[in-house]
Parts: sequence; structure tokens; C-alpha cells
Amino acid sequence: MTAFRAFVAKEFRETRKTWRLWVVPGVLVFLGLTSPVLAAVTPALLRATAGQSPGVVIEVPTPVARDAYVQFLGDLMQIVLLVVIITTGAAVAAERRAGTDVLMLTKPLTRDAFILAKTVSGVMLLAVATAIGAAVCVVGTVLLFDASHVAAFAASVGLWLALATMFTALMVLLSAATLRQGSAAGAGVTVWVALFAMTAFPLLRDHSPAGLMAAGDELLMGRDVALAWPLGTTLAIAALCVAGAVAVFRRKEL
Amino acid sequence: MSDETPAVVIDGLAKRYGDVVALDGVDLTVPQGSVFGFLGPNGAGKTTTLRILAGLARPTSGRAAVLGHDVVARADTVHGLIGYLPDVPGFYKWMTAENFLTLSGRLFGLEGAVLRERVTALLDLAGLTGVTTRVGGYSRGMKQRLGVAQALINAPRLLMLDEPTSALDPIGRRELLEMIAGLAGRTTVFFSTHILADVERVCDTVAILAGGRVVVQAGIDELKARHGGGHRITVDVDRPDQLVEALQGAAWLASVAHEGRDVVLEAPDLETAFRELPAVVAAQGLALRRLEAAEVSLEEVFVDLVQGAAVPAGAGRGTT
Repeated sequence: MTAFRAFVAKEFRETRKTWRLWVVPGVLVFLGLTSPVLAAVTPALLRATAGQSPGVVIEVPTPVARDAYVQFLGDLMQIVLLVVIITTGAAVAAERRAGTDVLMLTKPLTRDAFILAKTVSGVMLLAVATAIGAAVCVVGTVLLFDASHVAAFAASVGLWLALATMFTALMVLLSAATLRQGSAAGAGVTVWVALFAMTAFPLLRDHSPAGLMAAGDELLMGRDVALAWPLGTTLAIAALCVAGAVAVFRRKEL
Repeated sequence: MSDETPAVVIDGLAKRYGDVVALDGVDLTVPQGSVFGFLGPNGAGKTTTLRILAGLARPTSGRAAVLGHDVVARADTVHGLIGYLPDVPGFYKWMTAENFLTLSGRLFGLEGAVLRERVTALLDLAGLTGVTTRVGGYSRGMKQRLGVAQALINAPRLLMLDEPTSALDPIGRRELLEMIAGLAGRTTVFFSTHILADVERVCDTVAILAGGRVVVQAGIDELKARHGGGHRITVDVDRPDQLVEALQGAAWLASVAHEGRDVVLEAPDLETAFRELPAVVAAQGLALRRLEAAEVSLEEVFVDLVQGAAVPAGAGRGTT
């Protein structure tokens, strides 16, 4: 447990000291800042564009707070998930490439603890960065619009975090299995595309993590969403990925 | 675990990578407290053996134990007892040496004053005190010295070093060898190398690995006496062929050969040779121009044994 704590602390310190600080947290804060602004100015931009073409009339509804949150959630599902997939693909692979895993794993840090530390630190970093990005988005939205839909937005972000946790666990598994960031990221992107495709099929969507991809927007629209299956399968797959990563890494020759 | 328990016991250890045989039934015992040189040409299987002992690779068959603990079944216990330096150590580039030693110590559960004292002492030992540059900017020699320091953070009972001097300049090499020699009797040092001078300088016992097998394990003096005949005598006479013929079958000789203008003898006992040889030269009516004696070097023993070792099919290829 001592070695696990020391290694998790190293992971956090590494985030602060390297490019990692500017990727996931940086992207989330950037999106938190820009989403309300984009929601506010997009109608004006569209009207200005239409004004340059005689005869073209674009009816754009007046933007509301919900538009900013929908914008942020859309970016979470696409941009941020892709960033998570690519960066977390290096979780184990980068240590292997640099040979740092050898000096860590010949000390009382077990391989299981190594994988768990990678997963836990990844999820914690994501949770903190998401909370900060979402908070920035809320502040910007309240300033530019009003304080409506904050609770639904928070719930939607929570659901996204569950999905991102599953992708983090999946990428640790793929990184441990392939020991190559590129291969792991490629496989992760394939899963991400497959999940998006599944949202087009109601039966698959309602009984798999794909359901979480559309749930956020539904919550913001004030509709009821059945979350048991999507959330349950997401967390179950995350747990299976962690167990799989531990099992795969135990057998790896370093 | 009693002090009589060997630091390392390897029994019939084999490792294959597909068709490539890296280790082909290695047997080895390393007594506690020894400075043990693990010699072998490139590709002999030294690194593979060390990786198995460190729990980084699994044997195909056979077993290995460190201080009585099986390296596969009790890897976690083994990791608490050893210090390990791979041939090319990898560090977090963003850390300083102090950061890395502190992290290493914390993985062993060291905290507070004990950790600080040990880090300070090891930075001093590695010549890195006051170096605030990040490890990413270190030379290979600096990384190697930091590698040795991190391997000592837990005061290990077995220190395993894979080619520790290969990246060091002559001064760094001498300092490291002196440090290793200074550990004799306090901990067991098991280090692999192909630099024979390093082994002759600090080791009390050696094993020579060739073709995935240990071809010999012995004390250095015993090894030279057993395999080298003890002393090498070079004789320059006017008719070398006649001297070689006259010396054939002499009981005090291990071997005799004509090499260029010289006759080269190997003799277990130098005094007997110095008594007998001039008598033979005189009896043959030869003119003695030069007579030189030297100890048989470990290098000569090494070359003889390695060249004489049977190399199994596929051995020595690939990553070993």
C-alpha cells in the first residue's frame, strides 16, 4: 500500500511537471471558457453570414444557457474523449519505452499496484480536470446567460465522467496489452467509433455504454432517461478492463 | 533466512524465445557476502539470467531462488531484498537525482529522517550532490551512477548489477569498482560483465556463461590454476622446435607450444618450472636468450573456456 501511494503521488507530480498538465486539464478549461462564448455569439455570426447573401434568411433562436452546456457536452464526447484515448494509451507503454517500469517494478511496487495506480491517477486527474472545466463553463454561462439547467448539466457531466472512466480503464488495458501507445490509441479510437455507431440502434444504445453518449443532451432537455443499463454496463466494463489489465500485465515480460 | 542460505541458487534454468535458446540449463550458486562476477560474451544469456532473478522475465523451465525465495512464486518478497541496476537504466527525465532517490526510497517504505539521510549519502556516493539538473540532461555515466545509487537505497542484501561499468569513463569505472569492492562482506554483489579486468579487480568468485550454460564457476585463483595451469612462461631459444620436442610429456608442465619465435609453456608451479627448464635447455645444448614468466590472465582462461564451450543451436541469438 505504501508503494502504491508513493507511485500515485509520482503520477500526480508527473502531471504537474510535464506536458500532461496542459493536455486533458488544459483542453477542459479551454472548452469550459469557450463553450458559453460560442453559444452566445454563434447566432450573431450566422445572422452576419446570412446578411452577406441576398435573399437568404436564417432564423436563429435566441441562445439560452442550455446551448452552452450542450456545446460543452458535445466537446466532451468528441474532443476530450479522443484526447483521453490518445494520452492514456501511453499509460503503460511510455514507461515501457523509457525503461522506467523496470526500476519501479524491481522494488516493492507490485505489477497489480502499478496498473491500479495508473488507472486511479488517470481517473482522479480526469475527475478534477472535468470539475474545473465544468465549473468554468458554468461560471461563463451564468455570466452570459442565467443560472438555469445547472443541476441537469452537473448530472450530464457526471454521466460523461463514468464513460470517460471506462475509456481510461480500457486504455490502460490496451496500453498494458500492446505496450505501444499508437496501437493502443488505434484500438481505443475504434471502440469509440463503434460506440458512436451503436447510438443509431435503440436496442444497443439503451443496453450499453452508448446510452451515456446521448443521455446528457436528454437530461438537459428535461426528458427522463433510463440510466440503469448504460451506467451499469459502463461501470462493469470499466471494472473488467481494470481486472484484464492486471491479468495481462502480470504475464508480461519486461 | 540463515546466513548459510545462498544469495542466489539457480537450478536447470532455461529460457527460450520461440526457437531461440537464451538459457540452456543454467546451474549456479552464489554464496552470501561474495562479490560474484558473472562473465560471458555478448549474447551469452547474462542479462536474461538477471532479468529472471529480478522477476522481469519468466523461466521456460528450471527454478531460481534469491535468499531462499523463489523468484517466480515470491517475487514480491524478493523485490524487498534486492537492489537492481539494468544495463540501460531508464529514469523519469523530469526528475532530479534527489527526486528519483526519494521516490525509490518511498517505494521501500522509507520516510522522514532515514530517507533524507540515505538520499544524501547516496547522492554523495554517486557524485551527484548539488546537481539540480533534471535527469533528462544527464550523461550516460551520470545515469549509471544514479542507477547504482537507486539500487542501494534499501541497503539490499543482494545487489544485482548488469554491465554496471560499461558506460563509465576510467575514473568513474574505478570509483564504482572501489565501491563494489567496499561492499564485500556486507552484502552480496552479483554483477554481469564482459570486462575481465573489472572482474579480476573486485570479484572473489566468478561464473562464466557461454552458449546459455555456465561452463565454470570457481574462485578466480582456483579458476586460473585449474584452467590456465597457473603461470605462463615465454622462452626464446635458438632452436625452439627442439625445445618443444624435449619438453613433451614433462610432468611439471600443463602445456607447451611453439608460438612464432617463442616457446610458450603453462606451468602450475613457477619455482619447479624455473628449476627444471634451464636444465632441459642446457641438456639440449640450446642458447637461452630470454625467459619471461607471467600469471595466466583471466582473459586467457575466459577465451579458452568460451571457445571450448558447446554452443547449442540457436543460442546467443536475439535478446539475451
